[in-house]
Amino acid sequence: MKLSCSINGVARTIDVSANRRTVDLLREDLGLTGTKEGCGTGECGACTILVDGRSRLSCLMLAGQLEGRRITTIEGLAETEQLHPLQSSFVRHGAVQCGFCTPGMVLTATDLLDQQPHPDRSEIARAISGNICRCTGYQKIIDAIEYADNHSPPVAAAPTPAQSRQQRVEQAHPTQTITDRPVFFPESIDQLWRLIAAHPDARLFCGGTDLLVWLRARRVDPPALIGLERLDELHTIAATGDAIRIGAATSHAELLANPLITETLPVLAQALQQLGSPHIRRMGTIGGNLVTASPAGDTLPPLSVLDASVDLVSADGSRILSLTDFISGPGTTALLPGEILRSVIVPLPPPKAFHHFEKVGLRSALACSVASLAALIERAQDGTIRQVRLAWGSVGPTVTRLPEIEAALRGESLNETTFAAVLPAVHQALSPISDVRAGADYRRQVAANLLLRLPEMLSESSAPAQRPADTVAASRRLA
Amino acid sequence: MNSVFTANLDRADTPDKCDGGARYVHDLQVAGMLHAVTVRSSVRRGTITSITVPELPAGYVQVSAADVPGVNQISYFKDPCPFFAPGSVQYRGEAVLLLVGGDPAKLHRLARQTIIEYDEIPAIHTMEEALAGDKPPIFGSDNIYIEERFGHGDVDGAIARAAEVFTTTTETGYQDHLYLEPQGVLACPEVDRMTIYVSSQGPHAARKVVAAALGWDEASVRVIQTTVGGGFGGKIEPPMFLAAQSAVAAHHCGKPVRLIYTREEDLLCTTKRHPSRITVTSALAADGSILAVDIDSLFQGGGYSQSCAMVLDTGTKKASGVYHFPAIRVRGRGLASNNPMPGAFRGFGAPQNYFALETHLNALARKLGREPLEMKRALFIKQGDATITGGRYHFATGLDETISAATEAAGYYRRRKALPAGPSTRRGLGQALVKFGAPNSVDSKISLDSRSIGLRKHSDGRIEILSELVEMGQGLHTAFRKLVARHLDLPVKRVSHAPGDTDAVPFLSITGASMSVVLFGATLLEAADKLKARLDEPGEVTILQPARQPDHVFWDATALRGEPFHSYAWGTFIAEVEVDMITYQVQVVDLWVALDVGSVIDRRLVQGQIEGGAVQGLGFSLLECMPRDGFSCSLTDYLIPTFLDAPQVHGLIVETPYPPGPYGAKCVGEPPLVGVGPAIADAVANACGVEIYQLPITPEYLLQRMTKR
Ligand SMILES: Cc1cc2nc3c(=O)[nH]c(=O)nc-3n(C[C@H](O)[C@H](O)[C@H](O)COP(=O)(O)OP(=O)(O)OC[C@H]3O[C@@H](n4cnc5c(N)ncnc54)[C@H](O)[C@@H]3O)c2cc1C
Ligand code: FES
Ligand code: FES
Repeated sequence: MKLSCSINGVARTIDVSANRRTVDLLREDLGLTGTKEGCGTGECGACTILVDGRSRLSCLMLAGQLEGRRITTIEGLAETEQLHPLQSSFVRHGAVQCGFCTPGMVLTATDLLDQQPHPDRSEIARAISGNICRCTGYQKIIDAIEYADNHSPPVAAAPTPAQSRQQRVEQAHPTQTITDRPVFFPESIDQLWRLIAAHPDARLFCGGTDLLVWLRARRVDPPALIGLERLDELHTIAATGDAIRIGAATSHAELLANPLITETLPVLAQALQQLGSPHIRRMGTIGGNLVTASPAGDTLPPLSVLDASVDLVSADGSRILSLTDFISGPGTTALLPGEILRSVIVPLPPPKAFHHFEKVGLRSALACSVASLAALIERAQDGTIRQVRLAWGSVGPTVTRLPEIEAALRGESLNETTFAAVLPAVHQALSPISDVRAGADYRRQVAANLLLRLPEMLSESSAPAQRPADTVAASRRLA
Repeated sequence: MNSVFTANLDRADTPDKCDGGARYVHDLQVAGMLHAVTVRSSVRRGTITSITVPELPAGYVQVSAADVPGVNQISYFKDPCPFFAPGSVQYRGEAVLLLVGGDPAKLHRLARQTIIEYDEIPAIHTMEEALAGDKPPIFGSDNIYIEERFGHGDVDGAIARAAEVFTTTTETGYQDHLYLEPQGVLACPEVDRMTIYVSSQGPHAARKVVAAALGWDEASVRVIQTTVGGGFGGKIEPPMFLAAQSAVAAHHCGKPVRLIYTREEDLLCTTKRHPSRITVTSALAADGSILAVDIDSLFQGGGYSQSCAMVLDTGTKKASGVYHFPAIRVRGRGLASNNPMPGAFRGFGAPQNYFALETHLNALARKLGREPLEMKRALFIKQGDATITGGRYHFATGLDETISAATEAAGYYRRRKALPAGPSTRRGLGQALVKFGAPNSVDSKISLDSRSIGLRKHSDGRIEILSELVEMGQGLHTAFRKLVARHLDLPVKRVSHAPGDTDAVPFLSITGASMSVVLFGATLLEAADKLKARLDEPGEVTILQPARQPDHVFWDATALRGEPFHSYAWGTFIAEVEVDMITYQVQVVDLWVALDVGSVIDRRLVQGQIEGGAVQGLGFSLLECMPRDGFSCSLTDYLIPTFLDAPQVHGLIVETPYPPGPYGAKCVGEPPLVGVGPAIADAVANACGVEIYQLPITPEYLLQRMTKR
């Protein structure tokens, strides 16, 4: 394709396969090697670039996604021969050791400071928790970002003229590579149906945070790709009477930035805040998460307790399915060939209900859940449980609901004894598997234990509360 | 604070690293360059019966053991270690051949289509299997790569006489270095010469390996060190393999060949920390005091010995910790297996042994109801005491000062018994004590006096440091520049560091084992002394100073007697943890690391090493986990600490000068990692009331410990 975009302030037209990874386009074809590749699977942040000013992982983006965009790489951050103030701050705070993580750290932090000029230390840590550093232990990086604006005089960029930024671009010797997979980005639904008809085996994708990982591992090898990101109608969030309709292509970060979601659906917002990393939340979408239908998919348990349904559409019409009917097992959905997920419909939960989500991962960011629990509890006047919905993630082939437990809890008082009493039955009912992350016994025990957090959280949220979405377990662990 | 160095220096390498200008090996492209992809063994152990490579397009070739013009051996290691599988394989992921050509995607496709068939040999999966001898041995007749014993006194007699014998067994698993930059090499053939660009911890070692592989003299090989994106010991061994393989390929094709690993390959086949199982037995008198200690340390090596001997050797020599026991016996064995390949890693055998010994003593203190630091204090090494190899602790130890610094900062004695518990959380404080000896030389096959470090005064007055020691992020070149500037009484900006290029700098050593500053820094100052007298001479002046041991060091390599190390750093680690009793997750809230590193050359660099090393140690202690017998080949499964897992690390620096070191400096690269594991384990044990005998302390392990009672 002829790709038109701006790279570091220069408008460019580049002859490149739409299927080429952005990191390869930048590094190998354009010689912009300041962008690093540490993993290729979204797990390290070394490949971070700015796309229209927001940080993105270039290892999980295809060149075709850059059309019309404004790209900034680390080479383009400083506008003069002096380093950008943030870069100077990294130098001055000793925040750089081997330097391999540095470009990604600096760009992610640029995005953060652009949106929030004076973050505190825990906000900084959260905002760059998708960037891994193996050398520094992170503290000096946090220092560098925290004190970026009261830095001492700027540091001059490296003086070696032979390596000036422009020359580096010209030195590139683009690698010839197999480019046999077309990628399409329809801009209207009609165009989408025509493309699907012409390429029936094409694979759809939205954020690509799952699909590009599978392509790399060769778990899938489709003849063509169709990107849905330019379909406006998949991006809307709207309240429609007694429900909220969320477009499938809405990113997790967009949902978290929307007060309708954070105020009305805290259980979903709590789950989204713990999903992946800031980068993954910005790139990944709710539709992708549902269609991937992973047992560990973080939006599934909250959407289950919220009684959500999905709106599927094809060239022939549309249909609405409950979440249970939509997802039948790991990676298995009711989507038919030629059908896409258009939106997720979430009925408004009862006002004053208590929302809670907890995910158990093996670390505090970028962790796949080994067990999770979403809970939605309505209290009666006397404080007892009027209605309770519980959904577990990662302990079965898909979300686990236990109607008999919910029934047993109804009418009981909201204290530890109540939940402790149902633990043995929950234990019995869950049937997790063992995998590399955790054994079945641990998952079962801990999944059941998560109920014991409910009375604790309920008492913390004393008033008839909807907890603001950011008092989630993750931020509690930050202390 | 008694160092002569008061101000921190901004590193010369960071502006480039901040604006994308630094060139790592993966960033290099040259005209006509080909790419290489490795085809690897899919089995753990077997004889190769056939290799079927699909028909290769024009311009594509395969390169394997048959194409090696010199010797198919990594000459650096004591024991044989081929760089292309020589008709048989010893571990999954072992390189069998390279496919070389213009398009990496096409090469990956061809690699997937290549079929290798094997006659499988029963693989050795565990240390028990290695010792049992039921399967054909991998090494010698008994699978023991190395066995060493050190000690003094009558241990058996003490055990026989003891009122009580107390035994613990601890286990640790694999840890991957996870330097953020995967391994890579670019080999460029020229007329009668080969230039290798490599991300390694030793350009001259790579040169020797490549020369032997090509059958050339060393002068025909030039190795240029590129910016290193993290090493931690992981860029000692693997780059030699990549360098030899790609040099052979480049020679074969007559074109530059670039070999870059994906993260998946890197996790699969590069070296890792040796898993261990260590049994510590102490003979106790009726009053609970320790009469003797017996340590049996097993390290699980891989299908080739590689650095197993060096790691086991330094680890075993460190196994007595900060104590002078009345009697002690240490036995260390490094065993062969067909599991993933271990090798050198920050700490060099010390993290495993300190976890074993400190855990033993902490458990003993709990059992006896004694305050652990007070119990340990009775046994501390004092200046003048003998080492377990018959040498001496010649210089003052800063151990007591580190204990004071850490316990005061942490409020240890005051808070230890009075930590608040939440409704579903418990807190604990734990401690561990370590010493860290810097060994005489990592690759001790070659004597010290053939190695040198130098200085060049250019005619314009600039001073250049001629050293092959590698800057891999630790700040070594900055420390060296400060030392030289101070010694010559020149502004530091007049002093630069020569690029790591074997044509430009003399053979010295691999960069590792925390000995660069303490040992070679002293040699560098000797060079500076010589240069000082000649600073005013016109023109260029070059001084090459041979390396040497400090005067107090004597080592008898046959009897294994003498000074095992020339200098010691001392440290106290205190960890505060919060354990979630619903999920059994451990969060380290604070980590105090007090280290006696000798005189400080640059405080910020030292703090950087402490913070980074401590968090890497935290990963080893809580998160980083690979099945001993299996593989994690993606960063989705191999988890290292993120921003949100890193605690506040309080680096507390104690300066007990080491007279033979440069301005009294000792070492700081490895010590911050080695005591983290036992301190966290002790904190968890104090919080939860169960002993912890395994690293990493996974939530699953903790659940088992707490429910099995
Ligand atoms: C480093 C990393 C960490 C992660 N951490 C988490 C985590 O903590 N929790 C979690 O739940 N997930 C996690 N994920 C997985 C992933 O990010 C999420 O599932 C994300 O929501 C997927 O959205 P996407 O738009 O990127 O999906 P894509 O990759 O674009 O698509 C995923 C699948 O959905 C299909 N698809 C997408 N949109 C539609 C549509 N509208 N109609 C029909 N089919 C569609 C695609 O064909 C594909 O099969 C992680 C991924 C990475 C790389
Ligand atoms: S390279 Fe690691 S996230 Fe992209
Ligand atoms: S400085 Fe080396 S990974 Fe961050």
